[in-house]
This record gives sequence, structure tokens and C-alpha cells, in this order.
Amino acid sequence: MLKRRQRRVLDIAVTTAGAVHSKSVELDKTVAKILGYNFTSDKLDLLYNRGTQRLEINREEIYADNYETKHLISLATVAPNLRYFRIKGGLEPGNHIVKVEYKDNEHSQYPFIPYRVTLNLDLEINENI
Amino acid sequence: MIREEAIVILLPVSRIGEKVYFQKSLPGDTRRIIGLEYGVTAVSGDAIALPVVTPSPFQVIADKIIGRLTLQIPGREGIFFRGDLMEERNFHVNDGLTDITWTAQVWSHGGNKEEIELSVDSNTDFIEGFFSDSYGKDEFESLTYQLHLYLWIEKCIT
Repeated sequence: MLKRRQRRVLDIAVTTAGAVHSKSVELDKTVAKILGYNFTSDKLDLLYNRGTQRLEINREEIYADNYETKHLISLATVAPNLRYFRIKGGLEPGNHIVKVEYKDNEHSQYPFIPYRVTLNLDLEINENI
Repeated sequence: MIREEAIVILLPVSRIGEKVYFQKSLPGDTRRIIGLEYGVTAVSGDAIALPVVTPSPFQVIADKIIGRLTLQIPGREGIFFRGDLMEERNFHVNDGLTDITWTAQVWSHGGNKEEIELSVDSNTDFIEGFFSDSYGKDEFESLTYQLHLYLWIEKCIT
């Protein structure tokens, strides 16, 4: 069976300070494995200093509430092919649903303005299903 | 099937030099503890006025010790982690990207976040730990913050 790699993004609009913003996506049935993920944003300083999240794949909690998003950001000083957080051996998608609960936290030095948070997924696809 | 998962432990620290004892229960299907990460949020306090230092690509400054952490499994011999939790302050050194108009920031130049690797069998319900703070020492009159500890575990899914 032919396999190829695909990247998929999930955007979350953070519109309210101090609130939880949830979003879920159903992956295509052709997805065989989730190989890795990372987070980016259009306001990286806010994501770095204000963000925590919960991540669930196939109803399984990968990161519990309050896990700081800054641990899942890789930027200019990291080589592009190393920027994804790798899941050892890949993760089978199960029910194919990925759910993120992103929480914006107050920070006195980084006042809130609306921003976007993006979850990037690195996927392995079965070509000829 | 083996799965990896992060458990979050939140420790509020409200006094400089505070010592915190804590316990955290582990999921029943935990097989091993494999790693530790940490971070600090909600920092607030009265800073001591210190000379402002402009980061330069050639200037190395001392990293800050957040505190000392000890972890153990109750009833088992020995501790499985003891060490200083550090805040990196030299992210700007030799980055090769900073110029006059763009200054390195921790969120753009911070190093790859990697967990401290551990390998601990865990046929137990919970772990216990002891944290001794030194984050505000020499820099703050008073300081409150929240320490996040992330314990990576390996689970056995049937």
C-alpha cells in the first residue's frame, strides 16, 4: 500500500481573554497515522506567554489541561525538518477526531488582543484506499 | 500497545524561598515514568530595581534557578529525580539572526524544549515531591507564580 505524508492545520480564533476556546476536526479516513504536531500563531508572543491547552486524539488525552503551549512551539532557531513534536512510532487515529481546548491565561506583561492559534498535524496517508 | 502521555502538576508559589510538598496520583495503567518538563506562568511581584542590560550576541549572563525539585515514589527506595529547575537566559547568544532592528526574544529564540529523560518502573498509585523555591531571590521583593511540572508516562493500553 502506498503511503505519503500530508500536513493538516486546525485554526482556533482566540477572541476572549482568559477563556477556553475548543475546536475539533475529523481527519480523513485515509489517515493511517498521526506522526507529529506543533503549534504556531500570528501573535507568537501571546501564544508563548498566555497559552495552555488540552489535546485529545481518539478520545485519548495526550496533554492534560494546563500544559503550556510554549513547549510545543519550534521557531527560527530550529531546523524546519525538526519542528514537529514527534510521536514515537506514530499514533493510529482511531475515531479520526482530534480535539483541542486552548486556554488563554492572563499575563500582566502581555496584554490581550485577539489572535489566532494553529495546530499543525503531520499525517501519514494510505494512498489507495 | 504502549502510549505516552503528559500528566500536569500545578504548584502555586506565593513566597520567596517557599517549600512545597505535593503528591500526584498516577493513572492505573501507568507502566513507566519516562520524562519531566517544567515551566512557569502567572509571574507577578515587586521587582528590585536592577541595572538594565541590553542583550548582546556576545554577552553571556547567568541562567536563573527557579528552584530545586525532588521526586520519589512513596515506599520505594531512593528518589528518582533531584535537580535544579533552570530558566534559560542566554537564548540570544550566537543565534546569528539578531540585527539592530530585531531583538531576540525568548519566544522566538528559545531552545528546543526537551524533557529530562527518566526511566522508572511505576507499580504504584502516586508519586510525591518536594520543591524549594529560589526564583525571586536577589531580583524581587515579593513574588508569586505558578510552577507547572509535566510528568511524561508510558501507559499500557490493552
